[in-house]
Amino acid sequence: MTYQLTAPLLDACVLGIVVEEDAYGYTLTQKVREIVDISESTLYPVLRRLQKEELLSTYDAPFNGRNRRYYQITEAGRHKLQFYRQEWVLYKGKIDKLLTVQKEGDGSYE
Amino acid sequence: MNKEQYMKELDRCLKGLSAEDKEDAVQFYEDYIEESGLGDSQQVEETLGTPKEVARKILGDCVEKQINRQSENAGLKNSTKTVWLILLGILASPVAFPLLLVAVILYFCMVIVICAVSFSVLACGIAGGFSGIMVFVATIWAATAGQRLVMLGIGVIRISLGIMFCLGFYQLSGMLVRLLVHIHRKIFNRYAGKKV
Repeated sequence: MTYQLTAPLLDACVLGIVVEEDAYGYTLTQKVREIVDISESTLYPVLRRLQKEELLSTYDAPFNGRNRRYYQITEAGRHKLQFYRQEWVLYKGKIDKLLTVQKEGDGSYE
Repeated sequence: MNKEQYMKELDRCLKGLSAEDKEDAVQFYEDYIEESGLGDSQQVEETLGTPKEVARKILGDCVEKQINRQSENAGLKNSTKTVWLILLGILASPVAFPLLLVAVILYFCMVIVICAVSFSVLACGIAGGFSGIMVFVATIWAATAGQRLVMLGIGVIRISLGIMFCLGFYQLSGMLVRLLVHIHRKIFNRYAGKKV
């Protein structure tokens, strides 16, 4: 990946996945890895931080005779995600304008 | 090394974290390894990295959190914890052992010097204040009013010097811990890279 992934962006990705459905550590990591190139051990500290900031909460559910720890988004997490979404749209718009706006007429990139 | 040993090693590398933090991390990785269906520890190491590398990431994040907590609420307890976590983070860094040893020794020296300087200033403060109070008490035995006045004056000066030194200690220790944090960040960023 050419562009660097920053911590807030990674937080936003995690929140964006968890808001769809509750997820446990392994699947969550795999889902994030489908989008961005992070090592498998990167996500735990992020999840722990989000949990401590009370953007995510956890609960245990039994699976195959042991407990899986599921991550669930909190109300504060939803607000934060909303904020991240707005920020992203703003940022994306600016970069798009600069890099991918086509020149009128000839269809080439300026 | 089998999976149990891998987890044991990770557990060992995370010593010094609060029991709650450690338990959470260990459980997460136990689950993770279970879910990922990785057979032996060699595969685990290939995907996750060595226990040390995993621990370093967790510790690195804890240090960040601690630094943030400290900048909000600088107290002696938080400062001590910061220094402690920084040391742990350094110990988990992947550098050649001799280099590591030298760095750790230098680091310890720095911490010791910082503590020594801070505490000597504090000691000056306490001693100054205490001697001031003693001089006050001693005015009981002064022979003349003039003597008594002189002694009272000396007492006031000593107490105020004592308070100044104590305040100085408070400022100085905060400053030195911040300096330490700054140095640590530089070192840590170099080894960890800027990548998240």
